[in-house]
Amino acid sequence: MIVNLIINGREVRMDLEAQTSLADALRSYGYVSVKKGCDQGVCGNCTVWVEGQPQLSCSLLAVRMEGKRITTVEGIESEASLLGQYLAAEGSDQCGYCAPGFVMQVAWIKHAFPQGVEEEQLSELLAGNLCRCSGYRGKMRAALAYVNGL
Amino acid sequence: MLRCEEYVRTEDLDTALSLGRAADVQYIAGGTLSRLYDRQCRLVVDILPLLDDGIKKTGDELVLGAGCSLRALECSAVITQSDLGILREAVRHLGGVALRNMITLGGTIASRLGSSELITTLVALQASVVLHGIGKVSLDEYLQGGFLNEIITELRIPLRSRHYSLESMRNGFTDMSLLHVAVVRDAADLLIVAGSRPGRAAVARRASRLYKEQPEIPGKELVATALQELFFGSDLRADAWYRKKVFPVLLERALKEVGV
Amino acid sequence: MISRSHAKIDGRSAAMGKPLYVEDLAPKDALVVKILGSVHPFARIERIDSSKALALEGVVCVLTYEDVPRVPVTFAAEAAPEGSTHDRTVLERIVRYMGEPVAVVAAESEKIALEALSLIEVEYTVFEPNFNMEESIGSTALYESSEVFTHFDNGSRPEKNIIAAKHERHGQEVHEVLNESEYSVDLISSTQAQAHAMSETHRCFCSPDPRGKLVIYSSCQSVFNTQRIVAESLGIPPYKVRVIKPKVGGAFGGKNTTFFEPIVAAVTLKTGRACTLITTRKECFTITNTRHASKVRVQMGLDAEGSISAIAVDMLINGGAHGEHSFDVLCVGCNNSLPIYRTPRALSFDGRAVYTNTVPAGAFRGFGGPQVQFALEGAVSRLAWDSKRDPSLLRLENCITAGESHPFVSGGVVKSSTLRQLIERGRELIGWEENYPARRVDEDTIRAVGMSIAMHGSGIGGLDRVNATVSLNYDGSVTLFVGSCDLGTGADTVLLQIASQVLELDTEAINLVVSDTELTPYDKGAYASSTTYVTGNAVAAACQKLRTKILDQASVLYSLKSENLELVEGFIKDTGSETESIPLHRLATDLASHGGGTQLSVTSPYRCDVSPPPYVAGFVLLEVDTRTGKIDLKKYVALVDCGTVINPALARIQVEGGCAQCMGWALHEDVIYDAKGNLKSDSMFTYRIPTSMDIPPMEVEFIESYEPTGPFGAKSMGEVVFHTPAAAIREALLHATGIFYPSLPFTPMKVLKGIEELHEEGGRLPC
Repeated sequence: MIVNLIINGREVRMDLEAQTSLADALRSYGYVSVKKGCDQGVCGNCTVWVEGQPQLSCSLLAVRMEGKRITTVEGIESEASLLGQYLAAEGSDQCGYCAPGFVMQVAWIKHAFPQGVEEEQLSELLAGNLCRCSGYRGKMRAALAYVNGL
Repeated sequence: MLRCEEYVRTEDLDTALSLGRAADVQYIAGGTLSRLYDRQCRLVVDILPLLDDGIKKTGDELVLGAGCSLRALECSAVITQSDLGILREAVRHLGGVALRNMITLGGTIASRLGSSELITTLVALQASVVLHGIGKVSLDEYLQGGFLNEIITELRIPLRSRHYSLESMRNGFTDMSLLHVAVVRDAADLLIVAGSRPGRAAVARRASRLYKEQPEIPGKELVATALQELFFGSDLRADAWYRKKVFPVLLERALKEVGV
Repeated sequence: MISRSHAKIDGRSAAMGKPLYVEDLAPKDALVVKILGSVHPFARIERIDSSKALALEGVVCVLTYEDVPRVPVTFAAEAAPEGSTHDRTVLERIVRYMGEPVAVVAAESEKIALEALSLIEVEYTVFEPNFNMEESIGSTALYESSEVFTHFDNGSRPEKNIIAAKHERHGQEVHEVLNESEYSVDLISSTQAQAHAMSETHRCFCSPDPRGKLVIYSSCQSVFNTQRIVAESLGIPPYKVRVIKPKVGGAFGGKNTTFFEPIVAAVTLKTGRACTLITTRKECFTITNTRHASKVRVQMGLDAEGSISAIAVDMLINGGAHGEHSFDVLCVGCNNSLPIYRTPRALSFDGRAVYTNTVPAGAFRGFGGPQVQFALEGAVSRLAWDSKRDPSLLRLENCITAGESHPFVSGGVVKSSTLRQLIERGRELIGWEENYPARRVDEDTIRAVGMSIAMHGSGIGGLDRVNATVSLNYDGSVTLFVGSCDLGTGADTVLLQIASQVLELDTEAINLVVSDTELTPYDKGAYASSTTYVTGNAVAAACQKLRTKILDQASVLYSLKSENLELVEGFIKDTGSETESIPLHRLATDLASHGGGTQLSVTSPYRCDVSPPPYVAGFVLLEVDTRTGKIDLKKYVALVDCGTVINPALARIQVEGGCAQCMGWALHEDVIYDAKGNLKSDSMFTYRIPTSMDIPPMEVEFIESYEPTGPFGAKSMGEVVFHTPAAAIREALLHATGIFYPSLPFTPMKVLKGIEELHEEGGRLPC
């Protein structure tokens, strides 16, 4: 099937099978920031924005995304770079495989909560982004500093 | 995961319904369950574009479009104003924001999953579903097992003053609950509904009736009655033994919260 | 550069989603490799027919046991000669666990490969499986003796299903000393298997280079051991194989077993084509490996004065279907666990690993340490409880200190330790005096504290050998070549910091070439808490030599007195004269071209003769809902001695991450099978790891010792940080309920069962 998506502001025409997930479609068209972790909607590694809202690209059929605006880490490079510096300073990116999904989630939080967030609230907003390396506390320190502009 | 050969969006729900009558056809709304369970089908019919996603007050009912996402439900000012914060509690453990942006209210109900705290809560709130071409059916009745190929278009929650509580037990924050109970009390009625037994949400009818007949009855007796009438089984997350032990504790706490 | 939180060098690019991982780097036209798994937990393949699969358009090759050599190897990516029992081939004729690879298909697309799998016909003779480790010894043997090989006697007795065994004795007879002791305990502790659940599943790709060499990119922990195993298992010369490790998306030991690299190599060998194998999440659970489940008996005695008089440990572990790492897990269970306490009058260790028809066990952070230390610390908790002593003080009085010797500790003597200070400081931070042992918060809730102490090693004393090469380049920069493998911990950053410190050169001016068998010198790889201590020592030594060479050459080239020369921030300074400092890049250029015609390069080995232990004291404050059994962790405090802390931020994350992983194991993670041997916990949905909301606030502090054998006084710390939470939680549970819980995980159901039994027996909660 032919599907037209607007990825990071650019129109992209894809030729896909009906059952292809958005995560697979994005990866196969070169958006390799999108990572597949559980492939089941549990880990959050594949988080992208659909119309500006975080969604799990592993659990979306790509053919449903006709005309939708999709944003990946490649589309928010300067935000990713800045948040990446916070993560690296804490050493909390660790294996880094969950980092792109985490970045999409945290960058959204910064947009959605311009007044900033409390630690407890941030922790709950990140409950869908699993990390096996860091134990979360360092990631939260980085994210809190980034979101609250410290 | 769901494997399919074809995908289609239809013009209207009637067309979707007629396609859905055939074997090996799957409706898809939020689509998140398509990843969780293995299934092979010929055709996927996307009904999400046909579903309303609004949340509004109409007369003495709260009307929610079946296409509304759980995240929208969680953030809805109308729901807060309607004093239905329990709905937020009922969805807060379902993965993260990204997952709740995808899961729809209609898809949740159609799944009839026993682990769904939202379904349990809605039953306790005496909600009804509106099925396309059929009309309003109480959620309790819908869950009994009929209406398999029907499409839910709306959910309606009667608005009235009441006290409610949702008590859950789980291993991890986003893990499925291994037992939960919702209790709703208004001027005349008390409804006790248990989920993750692990079967689907079940109303403790005798206990609920007992309260209606004797509003002064001690909570302890309601707990004993409910425990006796409900079935608890075992699964990966907990044994029946544990569920039977903890149900009275959760129910007692819930009853206390609603002032029984 | 030492003791500074240098930003992790690859952190920003990972956050920006740059192509750093195996799948990102795989050639687009690579064949897709898929695996057909066994549908029986124990069976022999009688007939396998892949003709229909091969006839499918787009299928390029199908491999079965008939296509691979029948020489037993071990997939444990340990330094040779490996202690692991050799018992498998790339594809087996006899399958010993559900899902064990039976055939592989390489096809032009994933869809075709999957369809081809369904066309392969297999006939099996099915055998009676054995899933229970306690019943394993003496029941139907999984292996014929001829199918098993060991480099030395590691206790392997295949006819009895024993993979490996280890026995150690010291001092008097245990039972005699126990009889003389004021108090004694005899306790059995069980721990369940644990899945690594790393973010990136196992994966690799192979492509032929222009000379036909097999170039494998693998998400692995040891490039050189992987190279050797691929060559051994396929019967080809190792120089025909090159292994490169790009960025790894988490491993924790799980990727220190070479499951899939021989498969992709075999496909490329046969087809001449590049091919990629990305395991699904389900395959990652069902095919690869887990932490060894264990049953550990500890007998411990206490004298009237409060000294531990005797310790006897009997460790039984489930190795599953294959023998990878089991022998070494027993060794760590003994040598990296028992020397936490001063040498008692009687000391013994007995360990056995057994085969069963479950997913193979393997390496997992801690590697025998978590199992034994959970049991050992449980015995201390119980001894203190029975003798009405404060367990924190009992540990303070009995723990080993610097300068003390121990028959089981690597090198025989502890040279650095702040363990006593760790205990004292941890008591303050958790509020031990106010909270010990427990108090009732409300009708349903009891609050309690508990603690435990732990040790591990830094590398494998007497065995680990690594090298580092460092060169001064034409442009004045330096290149560090190391064969170690950063798994995401920040080990590369730490090595750069060490080089930067010795050479007094900014890290930006130091290039890093890592984890490539063709470009880097031999390193045994990332296992056994090694990189900072073992490879770090090699890097420090190589850089020290290069520094001396640079100054010597400057002296010759510019006719300066070498004793007056210093290397400072990229300049050669002559302290004996007023002349201007010479920039390093000028020396490098002069040396390489007309001046000298030479390039400076040094390779320095490091022989790891001892394995100095890092220490942790962990403290938990928790609440137990006594009516539901639910444990609510309120706070965790971890005090750490890893010698000099090279990078405080990275070290802190190691501590927080290790503790979190153990909390998941302690509270709910479990590997569950059905009666037929199917893994039920085979997805992230059914196997839950902790989320941000499940990990309590943690306080981490380092109290540095100075390890004389370590680089700048440092020890390693990757594994020891896992050990404490499970035992600390159990101790807090004991304080809260008076119940000694014998087995992990402490699910609400298990905790409540204990309390219910207490009530049934007429007992009462202590508060």
